[in-house]
Amino acid sequence: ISPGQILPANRNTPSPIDPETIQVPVGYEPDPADLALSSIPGQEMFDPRKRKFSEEELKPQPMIKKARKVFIPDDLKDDKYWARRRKNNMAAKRSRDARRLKENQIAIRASFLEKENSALRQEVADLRKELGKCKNVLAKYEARHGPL
Amino acid sequence: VFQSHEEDDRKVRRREKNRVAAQRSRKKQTQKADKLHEEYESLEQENTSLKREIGKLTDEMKHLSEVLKDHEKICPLLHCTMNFVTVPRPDALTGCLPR
Repeated sequence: ISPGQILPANRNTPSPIDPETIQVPVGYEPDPADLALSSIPGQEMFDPRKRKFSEEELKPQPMIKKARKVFIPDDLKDDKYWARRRKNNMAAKRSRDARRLKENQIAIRASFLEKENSALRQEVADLRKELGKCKNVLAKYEARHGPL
Repeated sequence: VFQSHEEDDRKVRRREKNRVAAQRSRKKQTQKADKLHEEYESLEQENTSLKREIGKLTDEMKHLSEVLKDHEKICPLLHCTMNFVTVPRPDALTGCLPR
C-alpha cells in the first residue's frame, strides 16, 4: 500500500481498528474428510474461519463421580435392568461422539489459525517495510527543507 | 477344581491388565486433548495481537498518506514558479520528496 492509495472500505474508518474486521487472504483448504468428521450432518458444515472456542469449551471435562461397579447376578438382570443399561450405553456413545467431534473441530481451527497467523505475520512485515521507506524519505526531506 | 482356580486366576490377571491399559489410554487421550487446547489458545491470542498490530500500522500509513497529500497542496518545491520542476508525478510519493 502506498500513501496515496485508498484503503479497503473496512479500513477507512477513523475509529480504532476492530481486529475482527481485519482479513488477510489465506489459502487454506481443510481436508474434506476431516471436515466431514467435524460437522454434524443435520447442521451447517463446520467452518474453521468463523468458529471460535471459548475458555469454557476448552476447560478439561469435569470428573464425574462414577458409581462403583456392583456385580449383578444373571437372574436379577430383568427387563428394567437392560432398559437402564441400554439408556446408559446410548448416553455414553453420545458423549464419546460429541467429544470426538469437538476435538476434531478444534484441531481443524488450530490448523487454520497457523496458516492465517503466518499470513498475518507477512502482512505485518510488509507494512513495516513500507512504513519504514516512507518515513525515511520524509526524514530526508525534512532534513533539507524543515518540517512539512 | 484346581483347574477352575487357575482359570479364575488368569481371568483376574487379565482384568487387571486391561484395567491398567484402559487407564493409561484414557490418560493419554486427555493429555493429548489438553496439549491441543493449549496450542489452540496460544494461536488465538497470537492471531488477535497480529490483527491489532496490522490495524495500528495501517492507521499510521493512512495518517502519513494524509499528511503527504496535504503537503503536496502547499509544498514550496512544487508550487513556487522559481523552481524548474516538471509536472509532479502522479505516482506513489509526491514529487517534492527525494527518491
